[in-house]
Amino acid sequence: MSGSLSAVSNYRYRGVSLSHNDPAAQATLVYDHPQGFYAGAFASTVRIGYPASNELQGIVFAGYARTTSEGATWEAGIVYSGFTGTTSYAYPELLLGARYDKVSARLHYSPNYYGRGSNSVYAEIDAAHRLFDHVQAVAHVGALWTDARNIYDEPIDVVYDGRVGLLFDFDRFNIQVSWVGLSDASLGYGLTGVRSRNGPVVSVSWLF
Amino acid sequence: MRATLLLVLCLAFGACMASERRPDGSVAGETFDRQVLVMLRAAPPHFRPDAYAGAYDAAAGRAAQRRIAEKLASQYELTIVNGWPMPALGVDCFVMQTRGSASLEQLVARLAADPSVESAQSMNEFHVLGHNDPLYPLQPSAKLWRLDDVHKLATGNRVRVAIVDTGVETDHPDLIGRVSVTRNFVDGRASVGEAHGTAVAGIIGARADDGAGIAGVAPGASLLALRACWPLEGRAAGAVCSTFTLAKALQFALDERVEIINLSVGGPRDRLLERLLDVALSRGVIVVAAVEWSAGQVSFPASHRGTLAVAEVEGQDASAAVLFAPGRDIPTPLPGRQWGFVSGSSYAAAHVSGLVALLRELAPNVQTQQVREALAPRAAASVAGGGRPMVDACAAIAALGGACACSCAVASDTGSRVPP
Repeated sequence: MSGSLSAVSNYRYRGVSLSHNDPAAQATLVYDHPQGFYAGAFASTVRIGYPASNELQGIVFAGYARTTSEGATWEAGIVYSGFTGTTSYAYPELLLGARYDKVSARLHYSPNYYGRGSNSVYAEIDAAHRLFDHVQAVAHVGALWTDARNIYDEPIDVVYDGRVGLLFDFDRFNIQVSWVGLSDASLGYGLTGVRSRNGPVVSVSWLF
Repeated sequence: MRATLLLVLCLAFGACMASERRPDGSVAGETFDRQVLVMLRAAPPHFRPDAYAGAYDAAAGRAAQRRIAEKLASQYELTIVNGWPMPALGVDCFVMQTRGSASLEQLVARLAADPSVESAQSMNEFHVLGHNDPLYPLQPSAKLWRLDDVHKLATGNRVRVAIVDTGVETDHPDLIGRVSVTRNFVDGRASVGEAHGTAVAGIIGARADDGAGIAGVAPGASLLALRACWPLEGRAAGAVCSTFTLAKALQFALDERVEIINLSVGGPRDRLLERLLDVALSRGVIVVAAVEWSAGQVSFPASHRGTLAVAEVEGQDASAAVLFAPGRDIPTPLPGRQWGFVSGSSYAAAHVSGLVALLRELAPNVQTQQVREALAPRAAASVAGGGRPMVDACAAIAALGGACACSCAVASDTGSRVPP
């Protein structure tokens, strides 16, 4: 069993702010079975909707991960996200992932992303490279394909998000300083804001 | 809210900085005859929603392993000295010092039987395999392996060679620009130049055609200087290493995707190191290890199946599994911007590591077994003459590289020979 308690300056989920660009508090608990099965729960304070309301987001997830003798890891899992206030934003997701060395890639599919009743696929690649003891460079790129429509009732097509940053990792603490970018702020959930699509995020995590 | 967050950040950062000032638990210079290695299963990295915050993948579960290690330490009267992730084996490795007087063997057996422990073993000591003898000013490989001719075909260009040894003097005139990565797995010092590691690095990849010193066997190879051994005053062996420091260096070499690992060290058979070597071999890494003869037996890691075991030519019995290469009175760089002569199996192994780098440049996909067959003396050579057949660089390059590096007469000849 492992977990983390985090404070983030802006809760950016796939680039979209779910905290109205305000700080958020988060907690995660994960159980790992020796055979590779895992399950966990995540909770975060959020500010979403119109007008913005203070709520909690909960994510439960479970899956199976295995490392091959060549050092590659693959995984399959299921994720369910819900909100205490805006319950219509709840959605399930399936994920497939692979990791080799310092790079991981995941594919997420949801038939009802943020309750829009539309199909969506989110692809992401994450990489980490250790620069010095206790310092890693981290990067993330993601792309969301969805047949939902944005707040202007236009087709969304593809939305990209990215992140580059530094992760300072210690025995029990992580500090991450990163820059997050988003190609389109009109997705309709979250309140990233056109003028604050791109910006810094600082997070502090206590690992247990 | 922002002020609160800032306060949390400051407090956390302050706490982290404070933890950095604590001793790092290095094993350098400590006795480790009462230390055990405890391996705990590490969960494979997988999806976590908090990865976007700070708990990045596999690191997130490490605190849990630490908690288990602390519980075990308390239960078995141990003190945690150090810990290191070994993702190549899917474990986190913890070094623990015994506090009680219980038998080490019994303690290891009890730990190994604990369901929360993946495996456990005692910490072993290894030592480097060099010794100093009267010298004469020759570089044997230049003549025996015809390096001038061989370097016209290959210099080991961009082949990554990990030197797991003592520290390397990277600013030595014969090594400037030759070491691409330096890591110290013994203590916190940034750069350490020591005799054995510097000598081995020089033989493998010293600068060529620079008007100074020697020419390395593979002057184009990319060298990784991984310090896992350290000199010990008053010890005949000169320098020692531990299971833990060697394992950390091997894990790093795997992370760096090196193509060749040079291990000029010897010691007892070691389960953790065997497992890491198996991973390296399964990934196509060629492992070259120096041979120390002990009652007619080859020392570990040279004895490990799949490694290329190399001994110096003189004074040893020929063995089908052991390759022989120049290892006596070898001129090479030494710390203090000097050069000197060294002898020992360590340096024979370094010669073969350099030669394998040349072969890897010419045939990038060549595997250990093919290299072994190309380097092994031919049967006819072993019978005729009565001498101990040496690795023949020209013949090996002709066999694997498909090129006639020297004269074709040499390439088709039997191996080079030295008097018995």
